[in-house]
Amino acid sequence: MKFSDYINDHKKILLICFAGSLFFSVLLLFFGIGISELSLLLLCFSLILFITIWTDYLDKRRRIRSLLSTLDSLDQKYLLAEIADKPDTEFEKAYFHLLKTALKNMTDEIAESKRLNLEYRDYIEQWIHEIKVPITGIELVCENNKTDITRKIMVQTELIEQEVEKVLFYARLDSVEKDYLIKEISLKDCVLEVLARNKQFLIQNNVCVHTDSVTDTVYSDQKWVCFILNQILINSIKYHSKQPPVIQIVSHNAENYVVLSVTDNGIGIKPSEISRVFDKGFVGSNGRYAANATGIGLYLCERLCAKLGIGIDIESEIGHYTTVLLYFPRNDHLNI
Amino acid sequence: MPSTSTPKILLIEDDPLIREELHILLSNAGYTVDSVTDFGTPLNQVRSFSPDLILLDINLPGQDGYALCTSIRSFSATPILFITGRNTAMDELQALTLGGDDYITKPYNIPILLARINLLLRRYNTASVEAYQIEYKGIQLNPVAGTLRFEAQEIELTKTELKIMHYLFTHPNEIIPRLELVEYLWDNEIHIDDNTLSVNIMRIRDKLRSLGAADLIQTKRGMGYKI
Repeated sequence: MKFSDYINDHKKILLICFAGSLFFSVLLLFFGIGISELSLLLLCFSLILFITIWTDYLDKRRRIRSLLSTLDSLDQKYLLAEIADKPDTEFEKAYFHLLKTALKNMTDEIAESKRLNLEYRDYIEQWIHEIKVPITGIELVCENNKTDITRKIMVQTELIEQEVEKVLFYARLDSVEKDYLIKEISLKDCVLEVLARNKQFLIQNNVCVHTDSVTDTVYSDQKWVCFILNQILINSIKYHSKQPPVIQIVSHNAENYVVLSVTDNGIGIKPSEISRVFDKGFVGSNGRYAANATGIGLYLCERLCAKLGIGIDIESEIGHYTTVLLYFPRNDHLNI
Repeated sequence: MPSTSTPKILLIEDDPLIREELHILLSNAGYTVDSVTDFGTPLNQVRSFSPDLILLDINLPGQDGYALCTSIRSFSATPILFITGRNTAMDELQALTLGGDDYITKPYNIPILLARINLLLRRYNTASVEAYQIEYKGIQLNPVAGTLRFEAQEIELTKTELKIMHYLFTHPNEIIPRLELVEYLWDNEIHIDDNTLSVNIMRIRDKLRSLGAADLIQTKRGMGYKI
């Protein structure tokens, strides 16, 4: 608050003081007081007035600054009214009361919407567990009665499964830290599981996958790593070129990392778009071409990798290949 | 476990369709299967059937899978494979700390399920895999050494060629559709497409020709292969 603002706020009182002193000056002159005495009187009055105003201004300014610094130090700004020093003037008390009531109302609303959000998320998780039962049923029936028709149905069920997984993992994204089990996992097992889960879909698309050089183990959570690999693999198939898709999955030991790379021979990504592929909702020119891109898959991968401490990178040459690299930190101190 | 009888698997799963289909699937895979139908007294059935492996669902009417696992563990060390729709780390930990041997989530991939069952049964059955040969029309396939022998000559096969020959040798006189062969290879960790299969069949034929058994594999146009 600047002094000029303060003056502006109090211009009514100042005006009254000015008018009052003018009125009394005229009155005193009329009663026959001398000019010099009158000047002294006015000077004293102005001095007193100025000191009063200035100290009040300093007081107010200090109060506002202390409130602002309290506000700055708060994470949840809406708790200000609870935390700030108690007011001592009646005027300020009234404002505090207003503020408290309004903010109390808002915190209630926030708590309510948090509760609803959590309830909704729980419901989604519950629903996903329930939908898995009929999906399993369909897969078993198809497996036990293999014909060309049931094979087609299985491809579709695999696609449903993928989408269901995506919803589950999206819902769980905020609670990854509560739901993981870090142990030594074999990258080969993860790769094989992902390939097995998408078997019919991949066979129907004439995909060849080379996995012979995946040999390393890493410390991570198998479920999440499989999910990440699944998204990468699906993208490789989705954006395939005219030639039959061939996917090379390779792992190797670098100095501080175990690197797992998935390389396809697909349409590639434009250099101008490659830095944005991990953005939520980014589909790019390839996505618009493929028509069923949602821009969620790689975004989820990137968020998950960040939470699991895995580095993710993407390299591509348009018309030739795309490589997604996963960098798993090596925990040598775990090998006692 | 006597090596003559087939392994016995007990299903504890409350969804009737999944129970029936799993029953068919496991019977087709060569196991003796029984299912718990009365969830009031599942333990009696466990005792009377004395299975080699138990497939246990977690969401059951009455007592849940975890509690049941604890009860079974009090009198039996039979390997237990948990099957469940839930897949949080907590569920997995709970399943394994209560004495479960493995854990698989719905919707499970069928080859993975069969592989896990096989693995568990083998872990608890110390009988070693004996070296065996399959012979057909005088040609011997040795799956362990990865070789084909005809009369005095022997040739080596690559991993993919070996798997293809193994499937054909175990299904003699049947027409095997190409798709079925590709699926079998995918189940055995060889992920190739239809074209690559043709290339491999061509190489196998070359090798057979050098053995002097060129016509072993016949192509049934539009249907598949047959030996």
